[in-house]
Amino acid sequence: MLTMPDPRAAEKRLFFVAGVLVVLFAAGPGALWFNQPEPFILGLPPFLFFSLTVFVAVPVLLLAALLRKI
Amino acid sequence: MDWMLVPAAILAFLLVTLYLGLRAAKGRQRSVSEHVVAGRGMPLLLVFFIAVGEIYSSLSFLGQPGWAYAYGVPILYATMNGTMVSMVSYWLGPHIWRLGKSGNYFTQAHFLGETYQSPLLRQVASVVALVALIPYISVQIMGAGYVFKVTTEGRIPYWLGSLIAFAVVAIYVSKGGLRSISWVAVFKGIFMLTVGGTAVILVIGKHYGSLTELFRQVAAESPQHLTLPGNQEFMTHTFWMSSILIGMFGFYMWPHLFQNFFGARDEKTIKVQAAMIPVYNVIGWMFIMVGFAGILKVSNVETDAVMIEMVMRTVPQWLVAFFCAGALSASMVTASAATLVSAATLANDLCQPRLNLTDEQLRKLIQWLVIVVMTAAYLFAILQSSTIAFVMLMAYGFVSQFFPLVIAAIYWPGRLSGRTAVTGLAIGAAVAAFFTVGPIQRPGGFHPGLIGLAANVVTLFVLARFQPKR
Repeated sequence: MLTMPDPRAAEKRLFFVAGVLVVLFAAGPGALWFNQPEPFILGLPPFLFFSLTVFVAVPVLLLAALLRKI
Repeated sequence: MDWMLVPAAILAFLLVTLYLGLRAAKGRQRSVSEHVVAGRGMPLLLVFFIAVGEIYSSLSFLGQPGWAYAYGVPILYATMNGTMVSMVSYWLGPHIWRLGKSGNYFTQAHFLGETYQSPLLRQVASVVALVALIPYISVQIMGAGYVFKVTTEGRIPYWLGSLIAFAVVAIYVSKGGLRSISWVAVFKGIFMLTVGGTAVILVIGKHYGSLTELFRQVAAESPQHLTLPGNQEFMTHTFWMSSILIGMFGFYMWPHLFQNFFGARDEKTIKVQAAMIPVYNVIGWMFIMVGFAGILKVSNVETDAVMIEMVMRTVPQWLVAFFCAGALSASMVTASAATLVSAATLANDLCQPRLNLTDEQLRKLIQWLVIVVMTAAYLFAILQSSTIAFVMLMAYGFVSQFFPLVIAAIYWPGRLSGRTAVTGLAIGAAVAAFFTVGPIQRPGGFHPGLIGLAANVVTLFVLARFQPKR
């Protein structure tokens, strides 16, 4: 019997890659670029601001995945 | 008699906890499945609060602000990790749940042993779980004793405070299993969010007025707290990077977090709770801010005491009492889940293959072993505090080694033999232990668990090429 490829495979892969990029950014370049005490960004030192980026990126990504039923 | 307010509030809190735990167990079917994985029927509210209850132990509420106070921004890796691991929960959780349901698995060791068809792997995974979890429970017991001792100025000794708190835990875990733990976790989660959140806002508001002003003063007086490697050059960028990565791989491999997936009602429940975890994690980030607030306000205190010290200096005593009760509950929820899982793996994975007990007998054995595990952890906490620190140091490196085995079980079923899996696990754990406590410095400053994981994966690939086809 012929099997059909999963039509959502590309979309799943896209979400997976986006998640990996969030982790790699937090582990690598993000921690380097924001590694200074000043100037403040939105009232916070750069590293503190950087630490909050995942609190936005991850829920947005997961919410989008939920809505897309991934 | 002012000092009695805090212990009185804590005792009242313990009674409410005991009532909730015992009430949750009432009228439920008496089976191993109901006791250990809540009959695989937990709704979103319970799955979510038990997940955040396990993530936020007393270590998070007292230890992380302490780290911020002592070293600065390096501790932010913990909250960032706590947020990013929800993606792992979203990705792997439904797979683990599906396999768990189809195979009727109760524990992580059960899952691994059956998917690899290897009784040896089941036993090894069970022993690793016990070695990692019992010191973890002991740390929570120490946290409870510490809260009693600090808040009563030594009038209730450490040994008695922790004994009272964990006797309560042992009773409700033994009686009601995962369902009791989950209802206590709901109570603790909401309580900590409101009381803890209020205390943090009051501390920052009273001493600095705003977060911006707090950091302006810290940047002027102690800028090294605001950048890597942190105060006292605590964390290099390499160690930051590898700590994030090992956290991603290892976090859900802790047996009590892994087992939670089995308790969910369906796959969607797991996905939705994963999407909700980052929102709750903001509270953890806020607690860390109190550690920063303490840098310029508090001196000569133990790092773990900075949170309680700042709260005691700021808020009315009744709120201190509630805050301490919340900190105690944080250690109780984390320890209760770890105790249930330890007892379950001891009974189900080490005893059951030899004893062939009926479902009823196995459930009773698990209930008794809850008491045994709790007693062992309590004695460990009272007698061997230096050993606990040593074992905890290695525990993360050990449990992380399950990650490639779980991935292979899901995505390449039947490709690796049980013997290959055990060899990879053993080599990974040995390498991680060697670079944690051995005489040689870890290469490139990487996390020992990550080096172990690399050795584990290489071993699995090499052996997979030469093993006979299954």
